[in-house]
Amino acid sequence: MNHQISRRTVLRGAGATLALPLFHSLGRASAAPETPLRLAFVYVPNGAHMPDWLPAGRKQRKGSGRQTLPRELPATLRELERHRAKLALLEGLTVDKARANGDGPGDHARACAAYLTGTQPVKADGSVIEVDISADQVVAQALGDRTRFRSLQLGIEGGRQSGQCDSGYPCAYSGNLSWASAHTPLVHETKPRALFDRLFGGGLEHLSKEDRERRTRERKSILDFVRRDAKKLSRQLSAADRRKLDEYLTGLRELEERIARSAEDVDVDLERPSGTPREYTEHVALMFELLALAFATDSTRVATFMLGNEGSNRTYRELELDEGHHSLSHHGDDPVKQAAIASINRHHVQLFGGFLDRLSGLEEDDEPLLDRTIVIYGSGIADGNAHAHHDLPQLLAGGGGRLPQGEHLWFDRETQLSNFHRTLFHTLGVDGFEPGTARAKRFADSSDTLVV
Amino acid sequence: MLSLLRTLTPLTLVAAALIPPPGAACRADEFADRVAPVLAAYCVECHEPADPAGELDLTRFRTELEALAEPELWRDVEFVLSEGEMPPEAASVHPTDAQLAPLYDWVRAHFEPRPAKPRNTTAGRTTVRRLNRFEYQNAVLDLFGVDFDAVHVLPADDVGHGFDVLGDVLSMPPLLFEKTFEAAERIAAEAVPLVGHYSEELHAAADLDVEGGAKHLVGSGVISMYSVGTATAVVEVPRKGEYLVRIQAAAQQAGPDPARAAILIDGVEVARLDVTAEIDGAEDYEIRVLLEAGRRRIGARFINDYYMPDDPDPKQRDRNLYLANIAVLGPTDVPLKTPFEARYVQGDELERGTTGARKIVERVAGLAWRGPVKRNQVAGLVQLAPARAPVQEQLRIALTAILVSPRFLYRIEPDAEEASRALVGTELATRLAAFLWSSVPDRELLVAAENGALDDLDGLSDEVDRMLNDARASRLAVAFAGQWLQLRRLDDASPDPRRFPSWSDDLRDSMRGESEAFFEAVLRERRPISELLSANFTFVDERLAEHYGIPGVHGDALQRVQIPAHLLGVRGGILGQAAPLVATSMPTRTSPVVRGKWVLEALLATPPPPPPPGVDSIDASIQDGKAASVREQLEIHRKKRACAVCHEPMDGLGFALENYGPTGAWRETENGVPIDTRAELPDNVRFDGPTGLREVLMRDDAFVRGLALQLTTFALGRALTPVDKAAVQHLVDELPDDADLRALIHAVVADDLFRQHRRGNTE
Repeated sequence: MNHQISRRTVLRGAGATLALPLFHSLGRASAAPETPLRLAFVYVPNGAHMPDWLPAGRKQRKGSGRQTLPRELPATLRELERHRAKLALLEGLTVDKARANGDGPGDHARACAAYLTGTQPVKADGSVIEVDISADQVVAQALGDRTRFRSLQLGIEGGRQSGQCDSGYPCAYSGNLSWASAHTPLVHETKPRALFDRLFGGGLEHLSKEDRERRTRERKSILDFVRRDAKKLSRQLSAADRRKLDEYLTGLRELEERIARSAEDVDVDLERPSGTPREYTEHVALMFELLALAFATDSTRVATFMLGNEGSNRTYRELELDEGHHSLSHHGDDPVKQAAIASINRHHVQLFGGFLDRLSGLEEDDEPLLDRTIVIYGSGIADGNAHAHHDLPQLLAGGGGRLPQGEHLWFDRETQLSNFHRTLFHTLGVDGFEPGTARAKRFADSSDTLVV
Repeated sequence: MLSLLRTLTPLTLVAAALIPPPGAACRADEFADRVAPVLAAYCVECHEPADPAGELDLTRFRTELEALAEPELWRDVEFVLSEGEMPPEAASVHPTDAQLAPLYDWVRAHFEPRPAKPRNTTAGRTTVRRLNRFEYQNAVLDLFGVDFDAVHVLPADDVGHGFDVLGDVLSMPPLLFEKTFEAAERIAAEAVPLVGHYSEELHAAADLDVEGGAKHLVGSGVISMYSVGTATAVVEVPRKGEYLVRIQAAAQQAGPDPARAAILIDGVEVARLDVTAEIDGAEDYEIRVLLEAGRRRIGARFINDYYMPDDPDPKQRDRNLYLANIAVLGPTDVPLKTPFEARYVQGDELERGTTGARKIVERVAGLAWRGPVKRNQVAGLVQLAPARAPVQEQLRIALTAILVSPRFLYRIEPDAEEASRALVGTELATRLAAFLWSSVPDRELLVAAENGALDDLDGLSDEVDRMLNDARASRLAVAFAGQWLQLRRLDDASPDPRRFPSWSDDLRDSMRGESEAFFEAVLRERRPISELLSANFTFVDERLAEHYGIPGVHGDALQRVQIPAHLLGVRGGILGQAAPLVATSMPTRTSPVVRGKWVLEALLATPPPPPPPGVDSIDASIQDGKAASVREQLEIHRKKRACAVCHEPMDGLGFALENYGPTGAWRETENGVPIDTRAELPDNVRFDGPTGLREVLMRDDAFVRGLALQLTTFALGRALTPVDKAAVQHLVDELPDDADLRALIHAVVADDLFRQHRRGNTE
């Protein structure tokens, strides 16, 4: 009884009692001796008010260079003052494939689809989806077999369910950052409770060990059966149809892997979220909390989190705004609208700060989890009014000294974001992405690994 | 009117499609001499290098050689000029044909005329497609009677062309596979329960009545009994029989005895239970009781309170009982049949081991997989369970596999040698069930298919009628009408609560309900398609009636009402329904642009060309709180920009609806200024307000054609090619005057588009 009463505490409170040594025995049977590093991409839609994002004196910064973060951080980043030593501001990165390049309008859809894929999404009148594997999935596919989940995708807004999403692009482009392959967007989880159940529930914890093993055998035999059948079916199909069954088989394989790896359930002393908070702020904070715990329990090492789908027209009433985010982002140089965008930016960054706080507070081997996590916060659009896809807002946090910290770096014009993604691959230990070896392994439109 | 909205075909750069004649470079450059000046005089005003309208910079061609490399572009240029689509009305200079002659001559001399027929001359093909979550939920309910909330458990489906039914777009990400698998496990466990067949009613503490020394601990889901007190659940007992009453409880123990609870049935004590569990771990305590049918009060009373405040041991001072819930399970004496058993189990098959299981599985798989199932597959399904497992276990595991199989989840139509083939009966049945029921075929439909009843048009038509008369056809209103009218956008709408205090989530639901119920009524009552636009009835509850100003409606239930005389023309028909009007508005104001776009995109299936990059802000440029009306602001902005060619018709359609405010309520003024709903189309047709708009939409069957295009896209699960669209046009032409919605559905189903499958690429 006390059991239930004591757990009335909300998740965030309960999280504080989480003791990490509990997890050291977990999922590391095959424990590689290396320090586990995590990677998270946090995405914000509709770009940013750039004058509040970059330090002043943009004109003077030519070519590439770096300096210590200014004493006075740009207004938006001031929300992260306490983490300044762990931050690096990256200026001048471009996603060329988010530009029209002959495909006409649809900058929001493209910005999101190309952000981590560095690939021009196929337009084709909304009836086909085709882009390419995303940076997070390159890492997940190389390293994901070390954790229960190869990767996680989190979001706040579900897929849009009506009409055209952006100028003839299907909605899949503006609602998904992660792509397992050209045709398979990895849809994000928006419900804290469902995410909790995936991470820490599994639905089998009430069973005895024997029953669990029986259930696992049962699941395996069902998956075996349907795989054989699907393969047989697939042989009779044309190329386009076979692709659909291939997606099915990929999903099946991933589930098999997970079942094989989850013999031991993770036990966290944590209240199961009762639902999805109505308030945006609470919803985001809860998702960040679950992401931090997913990293802390080494359930996964790769994640993406969209604080809103690209082009989101959410009304931020909590900021006393009564016009939608996307509407406001087309500010037409109206200072009132620009100020509103800046306040949304600060709001997002503040929530992000809470995530960094949490990662700093959690420890693994006496090291703050933040030092073992690389977080990239940013958007595929710079100024929302012009839909610019160069000089993108990009902020790097954590990494424990493996990547720059406490600095502001700027790069040559037209340096592709995918070059920086290669840097991440290399840092995280994905083979084939050492600087100067762009030919060894291709990724998207990258030309080389960016040296930072 | 629609000709003006035709998009410029994308400026595909077919370089070197035309090799310049030998010596071209040496010849006098006719382009530079005669054509470029025409462009400079009439086009470059907007199509200039800095911020070219439509992304087309017409200054970049300096020589004939450069210009000749892009034949498609010049054909487009000639086309829009000769059709009068360019220059837009807002342009400062308007050339005569004679002034344009040098350009026409040059284009016609160098390029073949635009081919009369569209280049894509094949009908489209439907890719293998999976059930979307709405169909999945319906299929599980229809097949097994299991009410599984897939719409909230499974992730949102991908949408293309406005519908979540496109085979090419619906993907199967690993997360969806995982959730589909878990869903199958849950559904199978519910369909084939292992532990008897009684119902289980759980009454959580929060739902219990308390009296005496008991109280709810706020927020904990627990009742604390600190003195003699009782908690009571009210249970509807379906029939007389033996039931299990179970309480989940724990106690703060003190004194010589454990805490004790009495179980009361309608106030009469029937048993006493010792609650030995300590406060840190609640346990279940149960008894079997005989209950009469009807409403029974099941109580749990704490009967041995103990309080010794002076006891030296602080742990021995106070005994309290904590109760988490009361459950009633049963009846336990005679098992009830689940819907699964009622439908799929015959005779004593459940007692006949594997032989019985095979018969049952064959029946289930045959229906779920939409066709006969091979013996070895049936055997394989039954063998998934461990050897000597009980029949229920075999069935549960087999059912899980059936639900996870691609044969259930996907609609697969194998290719044949020929480019296209007629669908076989079961394939046609599957398409019909997806189209009309958002589900899978029922037994009757499959039997009809297997008997060849769908092979001739009469038989097919009979079956369509049966399906439309079935209750399941209501889903067409949710799945088709909801997406056609883009009502799902209503979920995102958030009218400013300060300006619209009457707005609520309940009102939102009433609005959606109105549009769905209205569509269903037009369908079921065989009303003419034109009534979708103007009807003399609608569906409202008290809340929505108040919003509309319709008197005399009471209660929360939607009811059919005649539109009062003073509101005829205002309400009745989709243009006057709040749901689409709200879905196309901003939080604080209307958007004639978005509403106009909605009319073009949803109702007419002629989406306007998207704005060029970087200038999609005409609507966003509107300022709140300005004295000028939205319309006035839009007019000013439109004049400034090269947007008029598209925005004039689009905004005009929206202006006609300006009397409907952001919440769909009627208004005569905006910011104190009378609302002007007059509009003019580029072909000089003038109209005014919703009534005028209805007439415009009905002209030349434009609305019927739009509906037919949308309905066909939904029915086929794919985008329509130009050839498909021509077929739909033909189908519309053949419809009788003032045809009803059902006639249109019959026509779509009878068309080859629906009854044929095309071969895909085999490479």
